[in-house]
Amino acid sequence: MISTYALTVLTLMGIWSIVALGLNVITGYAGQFNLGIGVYMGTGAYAAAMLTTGAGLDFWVALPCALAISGVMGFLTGLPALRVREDSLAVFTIGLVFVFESLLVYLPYFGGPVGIGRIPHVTIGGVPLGREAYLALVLAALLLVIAANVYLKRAWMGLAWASIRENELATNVIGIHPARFKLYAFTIGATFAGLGGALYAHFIHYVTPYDFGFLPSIYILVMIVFGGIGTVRGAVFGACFLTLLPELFRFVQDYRNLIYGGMLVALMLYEPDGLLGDNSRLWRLILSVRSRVGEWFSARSSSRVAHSVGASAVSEAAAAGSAASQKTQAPIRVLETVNLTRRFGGLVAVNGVSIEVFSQEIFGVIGPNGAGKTTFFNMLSGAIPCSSGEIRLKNEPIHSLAPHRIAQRGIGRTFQIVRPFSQLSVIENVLAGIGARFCTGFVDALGQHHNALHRDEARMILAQTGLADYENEISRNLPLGLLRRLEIARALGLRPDIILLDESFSGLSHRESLSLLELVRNLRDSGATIILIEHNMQITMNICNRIAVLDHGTKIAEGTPEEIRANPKVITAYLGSADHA
Amino acid sequence: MCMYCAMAGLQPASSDASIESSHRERNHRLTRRGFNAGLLAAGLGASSVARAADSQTIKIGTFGPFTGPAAGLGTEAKKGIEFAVAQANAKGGINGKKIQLVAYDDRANRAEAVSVVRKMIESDGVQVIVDGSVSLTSIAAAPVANDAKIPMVAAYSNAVGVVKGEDHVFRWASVADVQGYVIAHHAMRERKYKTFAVLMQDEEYGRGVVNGVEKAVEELKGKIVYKKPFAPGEREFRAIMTEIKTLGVDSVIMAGFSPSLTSAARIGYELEVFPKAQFYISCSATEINWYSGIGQYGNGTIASLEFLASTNHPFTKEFVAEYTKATGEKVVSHQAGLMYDSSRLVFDAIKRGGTKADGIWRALGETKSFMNLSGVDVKFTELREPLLPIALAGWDSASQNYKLVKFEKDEALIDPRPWYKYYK
Amino acid sequence: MTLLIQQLINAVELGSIYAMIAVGLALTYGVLRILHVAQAGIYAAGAYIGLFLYQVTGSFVLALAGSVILAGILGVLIERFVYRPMLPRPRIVALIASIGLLICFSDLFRILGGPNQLSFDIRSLNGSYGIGHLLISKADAAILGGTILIFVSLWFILQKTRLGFAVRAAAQDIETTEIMGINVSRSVSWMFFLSSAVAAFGGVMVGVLYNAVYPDMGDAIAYKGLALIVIGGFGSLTGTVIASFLLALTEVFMTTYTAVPLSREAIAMLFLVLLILIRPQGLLGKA
Repeated sequence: MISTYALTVLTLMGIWSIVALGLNVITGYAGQFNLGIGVYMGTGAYAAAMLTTGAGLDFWVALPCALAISGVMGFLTGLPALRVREDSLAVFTIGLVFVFESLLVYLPYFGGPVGIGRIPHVTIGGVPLGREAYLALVLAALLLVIAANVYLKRAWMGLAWASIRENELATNVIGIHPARFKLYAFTIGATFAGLGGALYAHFIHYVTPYDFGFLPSIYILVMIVFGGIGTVRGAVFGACFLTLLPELFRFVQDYRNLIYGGMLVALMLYEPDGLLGDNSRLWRLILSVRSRVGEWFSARSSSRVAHSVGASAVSEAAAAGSAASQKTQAPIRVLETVNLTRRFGGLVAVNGVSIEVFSQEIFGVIGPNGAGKTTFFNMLSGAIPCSSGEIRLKNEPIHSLAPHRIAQRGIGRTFQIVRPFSQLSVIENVLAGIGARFCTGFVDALGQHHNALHRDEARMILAQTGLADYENEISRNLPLGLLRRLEIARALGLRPDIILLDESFSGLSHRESLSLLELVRNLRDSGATIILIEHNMQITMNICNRIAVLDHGTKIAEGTPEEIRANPKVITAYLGSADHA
Repeated sequence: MCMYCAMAGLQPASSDASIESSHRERNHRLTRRGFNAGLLAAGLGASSVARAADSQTIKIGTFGPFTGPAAGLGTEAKKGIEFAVAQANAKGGINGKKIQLVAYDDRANRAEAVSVVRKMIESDGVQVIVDGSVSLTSIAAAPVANDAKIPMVAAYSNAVGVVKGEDHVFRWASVADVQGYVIAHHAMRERKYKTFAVLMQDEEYGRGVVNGVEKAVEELKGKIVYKKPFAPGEREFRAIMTEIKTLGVDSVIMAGFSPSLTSAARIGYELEVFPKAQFYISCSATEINWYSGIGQYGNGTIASLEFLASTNHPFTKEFVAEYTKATGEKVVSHQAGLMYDSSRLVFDAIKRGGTKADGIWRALGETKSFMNLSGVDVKFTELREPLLPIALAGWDSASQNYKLVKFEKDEALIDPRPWYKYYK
Repeated sequence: MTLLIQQLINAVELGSIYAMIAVGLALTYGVLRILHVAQAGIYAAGAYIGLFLYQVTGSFVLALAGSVILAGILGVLIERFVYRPMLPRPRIVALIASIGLLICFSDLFRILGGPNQLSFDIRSLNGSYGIGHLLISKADAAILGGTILIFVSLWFILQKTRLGFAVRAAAQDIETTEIMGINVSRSVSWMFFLSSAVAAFGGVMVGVLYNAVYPDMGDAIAYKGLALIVIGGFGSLTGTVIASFLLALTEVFMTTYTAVPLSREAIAMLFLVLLILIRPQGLLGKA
């Protein structure tokens, strides 16, 4: 027989864990700073309470309604959140939760400041659930939410969220529409939080606006950061521990808040990843214990060493195979721009540029500074709209499509300033690129990426780009040369028809440049089509099949490297005319 | 320390020793930590261990916001009950048994209030609870005490919802609406005021008081010319007072907690809205914040109080003298006084009904009348609400204290029962 | 008409309080990109220290000066020992630490000074100056005067001194600034000193204005301050000042001329939410 006091504390631990997992989806997985999770918990709580008290519905009917309403609330608040980033978003969510609390107080419909009381007990078949049974219910719900979180993390959805979190600017080019996935995160996270709210309401049997305001929201955020943001174990541990702590510290009743605040500061100083975060001492200890135990077990079974060797053999063979198969195809026109123009007010940045790029060639776009090369690229990838003109990919017009759609159609690109998904490993970066093909819809995005099929494909790409040895390295730790390869590898995940390389050689040492040159050449030789922007003349001349030269937005020359080198207009554009020397 | 022990271990009561040192109290708890650490296995299973009441002591529970945002109210409340317990124990306890106080902090958090009430009932085995918390937490906790059949007396929360429908919960304070009703009647009948400006703290206490005001004004054909809500804790009233000044009302009535009452009074007197118009305020007027905050302003403000410590009644004077000596406080604050009084009521019920919850409950229910802190005989109604006379008192800047204006005993005005219909 | 002008004066008085607090936040945000919620704790600390010094010395001027300096030092300590180690981390770490600090501060004040409000009664600052029918409270006039002085000084420091230059440079690009040989960490420390000093000044003056020094006096302004720097456009001092006065105007006029029953806090937050929707970069922020 457990005392009802203990049952109360345990049930609250479960409820807060569920809400924390909801916030974990929004802030931990998708990286959207949300300091107002109370809005969703409160929506779920009030919706469920009003349905079971006012409308007299059974809890089991009211619950799905409350969940749906919470999800809608998540969606609706997510929409305006799309327009703001990071700190603005954080403050915006603070504003939201204050306004939410105020509305609940001032609109008499919601019961005013006294809130809604006498919320009935949950019944199964007419029999009200006792306290132990309710705890079981909460734990069941918690397990469900945990499973959902784990599943989502391993799905393309989770990878898309991780991409948005790590580097939102790089998501469009791998076919992920950040707005859509942010909305998914808000909706799903809000639903989980709403579940927690509904369970809370039917546990305390009384809800007030102040239960879901700013301070409670902050406490939930603290829970997930405390435990380890972005992890399921962190959210649950943080929620449980921080709910239990005030009870444990009743013997120093007077100082509980001081201890809580002090603990937060200390933790952020010494274990900023959270007590169970991926890099925390405690977690690494647990992992090492776990792996030692694992080793002890596997020492008894036959070795699986052969597996990884076999895998890389497979990928190299596949790479060779695709190289062979594609070399024999006749060249087709992959990309065409017709009179592509871009104006910024009175300034014409790109002036009627028309080019054609054929398969298996490296097409260079060069020109002096301010020539409009980057603007041109940005139009190709859809980052900025065209003022006029057309872009056709394999004869399909793409110039009016959103950037993520263009990526999905088959244009991959790299960035002048590298934008890797820093906290993700190398192979996860590539998987993110592969994910583009699967992130077309909500249901598709629920497919799991955590399986051999996709990993093998990713390994193949890593082999192709010479990154096989760095598979599990956190990309943040890589030097620039490898990061540039990584961006290419990520773009290859799309299985693109054409890859845009934006100043991929800038900032590289001589050796790194040579190495990258070889990679790009190999890519072309194995069938890729590439457009590159480059400042470095030597590299450009060395590697390109054909080159277009832009000056002040206009194409002034096009041809093979030899033709371009000899072209007087080009020389003038770069060096100025002899008269002004 | 193992978490199970902490959750279910016997918690030390707020010491029944001297109150002078809340310091010493803290040390008490710290040294008892070692004791608790020893209480191992009982852990989660200790539901009934503490239930078997020690025949030598009577356990009384209390809870309230001792830390956190409402800590001012909770700590004052705790002082009141601690003094009552010490005083009773010094006189030999009740029926020869000493009283042991079990006090928990709820931090004005509803979930925590539910937890601590469960804890004190199950782990500590309290037989009766004196509720030292604010309305919202009391409303959440009341059903818990009620379901466990432990009688509870709400000392200072004025919301109808605390008592209504919970047959084990009694109140010793007034219902908020009664205060407003009494104020408005005094304003219109005694002082012949006709036009009013109303400032309403927008939560159930403020709304309750203003409900009473509005009904009275309607009955007596007065007029509320201006009504503005404000959030609890608001201190900025300049704009509002500026506006009121232009309206030329006879009187301004304000319901809220002391920080707001004090700031509004200060600015109102500074801008000379008062004393030209008469300022009426609700019972939070005797919280510490008013005494420390009002400064040179406020002279003539009339407050509606549940008890008045500065009367001439011998009982009151003796209490005030003993209390100020024992605690070192200069005033008996609103919460402290009401908690003291509620404790006296509970002690009396224990004397009549025995040391078990059931007997105490019955005795409370049978209480027809009881003398309160102001020396006034207070009758009980069948709703477990008292027919509490309201002391209208005026603030005297010179003596920095309230002086009695009128004890409103008219049952037609102070009856809490008619107000129940406004609340679910 | 008099009412209108009087309310305008009231709004200006309120706005200067907000501005004083928000500017400190804008300064620290501008340099470190940290949402320095704990600033509110320093604000309250200023009030408590000022009250204590006043009780000890009997001189308001000494108390004010002492509080400003001590709070400045407190701010520097916080920057050095709490925020600086967190700079390489994701920004949520600093935010959580800041919140933790604020909670610590509030509880510390409650433990040291008691949970009820303490009186900070400066009789000479009670009452108002009358100009015709208009009244300007003496305490508010002092605040307004102080705010103007502070802004002029800050403007001068930022635009005309080397420290200010260093700070503005660091706000743009810390690495480059360091390469240029400027001691960024010292500039940042000075910045924290200044913003904490300003906050403490605000705390003392507000404590005197309402005759109330209490443990959670920081809470009310902590989040309003954040709202203000967002509305103003992160890091833009001028924007923050404008936002402060705009907000005060909105609060005063909504309370006076409309029947909208929202609290002032709710109004501020509603203002924030609507503004972010319409103009995500704030009033003077860059898109």
